Amino acid sequence: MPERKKNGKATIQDVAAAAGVSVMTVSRSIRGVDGVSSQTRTRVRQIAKEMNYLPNSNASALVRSSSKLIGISIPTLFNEVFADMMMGMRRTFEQAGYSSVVDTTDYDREREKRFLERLLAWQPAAIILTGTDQPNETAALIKERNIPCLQIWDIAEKPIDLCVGIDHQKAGLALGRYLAGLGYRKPAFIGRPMGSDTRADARFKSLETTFAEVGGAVPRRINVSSDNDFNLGAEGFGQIDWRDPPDLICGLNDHVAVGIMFAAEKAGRSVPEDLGIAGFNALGITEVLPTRLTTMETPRRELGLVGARNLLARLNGVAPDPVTALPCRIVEGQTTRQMA
Amino acid sequence: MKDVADAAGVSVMTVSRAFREDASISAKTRSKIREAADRLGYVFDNTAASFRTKRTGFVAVIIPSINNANFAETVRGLSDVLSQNGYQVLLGYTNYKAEREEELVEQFLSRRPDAIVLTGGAHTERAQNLLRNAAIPIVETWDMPTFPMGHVVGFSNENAMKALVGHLVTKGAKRIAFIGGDSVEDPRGRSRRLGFLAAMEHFGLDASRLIDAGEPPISMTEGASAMEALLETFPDTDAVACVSDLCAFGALSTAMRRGITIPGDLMLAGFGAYEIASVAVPSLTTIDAFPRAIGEQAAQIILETNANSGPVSKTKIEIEPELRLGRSTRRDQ
Repeated sequence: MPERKKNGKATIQDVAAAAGVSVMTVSRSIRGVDGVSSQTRTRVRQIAKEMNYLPNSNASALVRSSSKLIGISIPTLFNEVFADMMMGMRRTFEQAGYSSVVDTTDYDREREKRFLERLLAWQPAAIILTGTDQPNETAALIKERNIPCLQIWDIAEKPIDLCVGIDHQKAGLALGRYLAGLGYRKPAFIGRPMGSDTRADARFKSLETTFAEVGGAVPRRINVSSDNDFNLGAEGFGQIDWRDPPDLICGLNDHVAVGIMFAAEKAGRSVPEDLGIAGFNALGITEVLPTRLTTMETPRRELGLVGARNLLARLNGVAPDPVTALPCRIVEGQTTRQMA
Repeated sequence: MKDVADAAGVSVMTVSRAFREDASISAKTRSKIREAADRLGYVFDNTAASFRTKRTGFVAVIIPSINNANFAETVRGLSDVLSQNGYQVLLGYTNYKAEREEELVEQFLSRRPDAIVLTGGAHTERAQNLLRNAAIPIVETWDMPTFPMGHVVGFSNENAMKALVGHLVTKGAKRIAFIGGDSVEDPRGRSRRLGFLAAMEHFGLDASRLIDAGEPPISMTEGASAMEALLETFPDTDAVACVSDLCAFGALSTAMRRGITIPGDLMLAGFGAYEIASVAVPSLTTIDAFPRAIGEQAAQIILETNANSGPVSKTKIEIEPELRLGRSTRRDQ
């Protein structure tokens, strides 16, 4: 058992001496590059591990290909959608030996840019961003360094590098047409203020389009600023003018819709008899609700899985499709009904 | 430096890097910044720079899951305080695996964070060694480790669950069951189960009504199936304590589907004061461990430790969780 240096960190020289190999061999073994037998690599890594040797990433990052770090930017930890996509990516990256560092932006693109500036100094293997609405400046930061980049959850004609997402406009249209097809004509939409979530805005726009198609009322938009989606739904419900009631309320997502359901129950409005409710995403809570929520199921795990595979292909020098859109599926729940 | 940044149209960080000859700044940007600095007569303070080179300006935070509002609150508390003081918070998540934590500790330490915040006190031996050699503030959160690595901001999960069981007993419950806390991968869940066992023993009640919920994270769906199992195995149960509110909400939905009235037929309680606890009908009795305060306090420790550059004694802050009464245990006696 090699001895560890007292009161100090083991250096690459210490590891080389303990393993009886050259410093270069240690370096190659740790970085996982060719030129070392797998037997030697395993032995050197084992010794380095026992000695608690920490390679200095600033030095090793100079060799671009050796970096095994992926930087991920998501808007918030308070949303299952992003967590689900990351769960979908996890196995692929773990098996390939990548580790990730995560930043939350709170939907603030400036914060995302600051994260990228730090990350880029670390020479990451790849970058994953949520959405495709980054400012040009951010895109340029990544492009000029030619770092593989995956934009996930939304699609764009011209992604920074790769994108895997759903077509939010199309998904909104499909949901809107389904609801209009049931006979609903006076929809309301409860969400966050315009501009804070461009994907939700795209879906709202699609609702406007579909209800205009069938000659329905212009969807009323109720905006609430709240971190808590359940409360957002309940508060939004409280702002509805019942002198001219809507026949349908769409939530920004399922949690908002669940907040609306609970509020409707407390207010004594029966769903779906008096009022239809629809969500978006088919989040985990919809699996346990006693009343099945009408919603649009988004393929979050699959997005993560396909995204990770495409990015990995890109890292291995293969050129995957730059734009991949996955389909969504209507969940015909019990919170809406066929209108007379 | 802010003026130079504004004049050159870049961030303060970029200006600082440009003067430190950081390789990540392009030659073009650097000359643009130099020009702006010359124009404004800005002189780069070398003493400040050499002091700052020891600082990287980021704090590493490692949490078990990115799909958990409790940890999200702690991260928010940390980021709110730290970002006001110019630090960036970077996250890693372990998916409740100690080996993943070890990898993350290694990844982060090689990039020299100004502090590292961990969840809980259970780490692999190697992670402990790496941390011991790191010479940066370490804060363990969400637990009260027996042998802390550094600073601690946490609470006793065991005691909190004891208090919850005490509440159920005062409401007249005798045949109390516990769902979850069966996985070695979730030390906090296990502590809660231990707290349940200890409390039941204290009250002289039968503590054998234990239902496993599997590996963390425990979702609502798993809570719903665990409740099915509970009702099959111990149909005469009169109260249920769950390892978390998500688990409890799943259990609540099973009860509703089966026509069991909460709290009339069965009292139900969760843990964590998640959003769902207050919006559920009936609202759930739960334990609030003040996750945001945990983050804020941890951030304060980091700020204070980094301000006094000398050796600082280990700080230990024990948060007092509070019982939050919901309708799910409201019984008039």
